[in-house]
Amino acid sequence: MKHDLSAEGYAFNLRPVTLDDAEFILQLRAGDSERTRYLHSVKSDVEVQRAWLQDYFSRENDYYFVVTQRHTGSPEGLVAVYDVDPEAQCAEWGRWILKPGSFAAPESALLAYKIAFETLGLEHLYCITVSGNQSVLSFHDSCGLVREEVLEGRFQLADGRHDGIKHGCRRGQWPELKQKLDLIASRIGRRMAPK
Amino acid sequence: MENSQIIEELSAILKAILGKDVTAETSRENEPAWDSLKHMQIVFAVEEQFEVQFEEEEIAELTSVKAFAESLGSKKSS
Repeated sequence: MKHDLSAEGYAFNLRPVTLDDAEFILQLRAGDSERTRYLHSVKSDVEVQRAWLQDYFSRENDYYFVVTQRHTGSPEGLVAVYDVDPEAQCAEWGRWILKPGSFAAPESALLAYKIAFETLGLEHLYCITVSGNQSVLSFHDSCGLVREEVLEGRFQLADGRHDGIKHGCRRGQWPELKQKLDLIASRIGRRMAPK
Repeated sequence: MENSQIIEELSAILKAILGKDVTAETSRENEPAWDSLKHMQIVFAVEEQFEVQFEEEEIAELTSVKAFAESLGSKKSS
């Protein structure tokens, strides 16, 4: 949906995705196969991506962000909070992809949680990861998230069906998660500050 | 500092952060617990222990115990 939410971090910020980001999204999502093997495939056509974004703009309860470098504004990656259920006060976060070698993982996750718990006031945020995507599963485990559920055959990828692992964070766990991610993000921020 | 001593100290740091036994062959490719959050924890812990600072461009390349050891070896000898 078209939204005006943003978040500022130590080294990285989140800003709303615009139509002009279509090419950047395509570059990331249609990048090298090792990095994108656990994402739904996208057609290498910027017009198809622009059409997807037009459809996204008209969809409610879907907040898609570009992760940018705080000091340069240059795009670093993507993340989204979507399928927001206003009644249940829960949402999923994902569409998470960063440039190779990026340091933005801890802070982009931190800012997505911050949007969910502090801006949208949600009670529960979850993410569903392809079962073979060990590094992302480990990231969520390292954050201290709870593995809530195994969703059989949740993902249809190029090489077949894969289970999804659902990690979740409740509002009550947010302060501890925030502290953990903030510790790393602030150190990265100090490292990346202009000299 | 001897390479074996560097590997030994590195292994202790990684074991404490990854919660698993580590050898000179351990890398991000063969150790799923070495995720991007723990990678930064490892980088900061190694920098403190060895009193060095890695360049931003270098950090993404430190993908194995050997890569850390080689980088530390060159920093300590220069």
